[in-house]
Amino acid sequence: MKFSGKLKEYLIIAYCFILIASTFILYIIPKDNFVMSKNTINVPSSLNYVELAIQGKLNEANGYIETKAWSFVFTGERLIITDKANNILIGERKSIDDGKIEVINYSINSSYHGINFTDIIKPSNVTLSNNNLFLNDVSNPPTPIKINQFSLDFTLNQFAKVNPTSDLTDTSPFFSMKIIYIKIPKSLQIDDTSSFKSLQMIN
Amino acid sequence: MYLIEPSVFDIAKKQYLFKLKTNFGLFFSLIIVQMFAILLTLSGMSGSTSTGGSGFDITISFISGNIVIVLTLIWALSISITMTSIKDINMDFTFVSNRLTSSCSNIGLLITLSFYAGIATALSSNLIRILYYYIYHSKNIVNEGFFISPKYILMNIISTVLYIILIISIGYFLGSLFQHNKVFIILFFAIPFGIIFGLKLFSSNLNGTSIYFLTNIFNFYFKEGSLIIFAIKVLITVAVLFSIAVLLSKRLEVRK
Repeated sequence: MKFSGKLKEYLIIAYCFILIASTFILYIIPKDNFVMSKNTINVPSSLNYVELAIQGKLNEANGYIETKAWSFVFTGERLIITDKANNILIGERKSIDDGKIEVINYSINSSYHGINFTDIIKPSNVTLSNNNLFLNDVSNPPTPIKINQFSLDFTLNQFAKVNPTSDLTDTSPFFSMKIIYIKIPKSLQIDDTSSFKSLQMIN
Repeated sequence: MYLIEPSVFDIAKKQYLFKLKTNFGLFFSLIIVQMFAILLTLSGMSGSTSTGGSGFDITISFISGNIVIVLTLIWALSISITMTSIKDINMDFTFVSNRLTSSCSNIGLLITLSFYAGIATALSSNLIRILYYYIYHSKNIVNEGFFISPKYILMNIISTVLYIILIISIGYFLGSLFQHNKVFIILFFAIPFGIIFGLKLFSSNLNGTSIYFLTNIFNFYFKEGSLIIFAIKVLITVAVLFSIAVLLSKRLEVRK
């Protein structure tokens, strides 16, 4: 492909115009709806969920959020728990046989590269079928999320006193971890077949 | 003996304007290089990190204008080396000129190209941002780092122009060296190999010293945090390299 001299001239002028225009457009773009980073979120410093659950303070603790709760009527004597979502399972035996299984899903505040992703952590899907309590991930296959983060050019980064993206490297501990808190009737027997972590009874 | 004795400046200026016109294609070639670099950046070649959680996969892509800058620097190096080619030297004989006016006009042209390339490169970073905004939408772009202050844009233009002038002066110096004696071409390729392989074989201490020396040179320019001091360092280096290149070209034969 051969460009004539005039065409080259026009292309050079057009390119210059586009570059200058893009600089002006950058300042009139509405700043709403952009992904906000550097959000200060409460993140638990240590994974003390068992202590908090024993004290009954999991609801009030910083960084733990109750995302969903279920209540199932269950009259059987034996319950099998199958967790396919790698949850942390905590069990509490109630003081009475009320024939109800109560399940609460807690998420832990999670940030990746300074961006708060807590809202996208969906609670597990909990179903009771006969004497089986199934815990699964809602999205299977996982939902892809693509975020674009701009950094300064190296020619500018060298001299910039303040780099807006320099501290956006932190990932919170216990990223995307979920806790399933199960309250069971007093005399119900439990079979835990979860592959990730066994059910921890707090009483 | 002429009635009107033209000055060196007048001849160099005429040659500069002539070369600016005949080398107009260089500006166009820069645009092609930058468009290619922008496409590479848009294709996501800038690097990324990813993690997974329950029910989601997060990928964060890191974007900057670094690919455009690197390809522009390669373009600058190649045009500055070829500026000293026999073809370009012989073109100067269409004028009443000498080696000095020829070199001055070449340097003038290269500096003009540096300014154009530097401004275009720094602004292309904004173009990449705008393209990302319209392709991926704001809900998939992190706020921090996307918007750059006018002060930073100006700083980016100045530093990019300085980087390109530095590379162009190195290229022009090397080109003059190669024209002076072809042995330097062999040496130019042999020296890096010598440093990497030869010294490693014979002396680990010497290798350490040479790496330390190269690191110091690298840090002298690339770790300088003050733009003013960086500008002084670059301008002194450029002045020295261009002066040596002019001296070398003056020692060339009249016409081969």
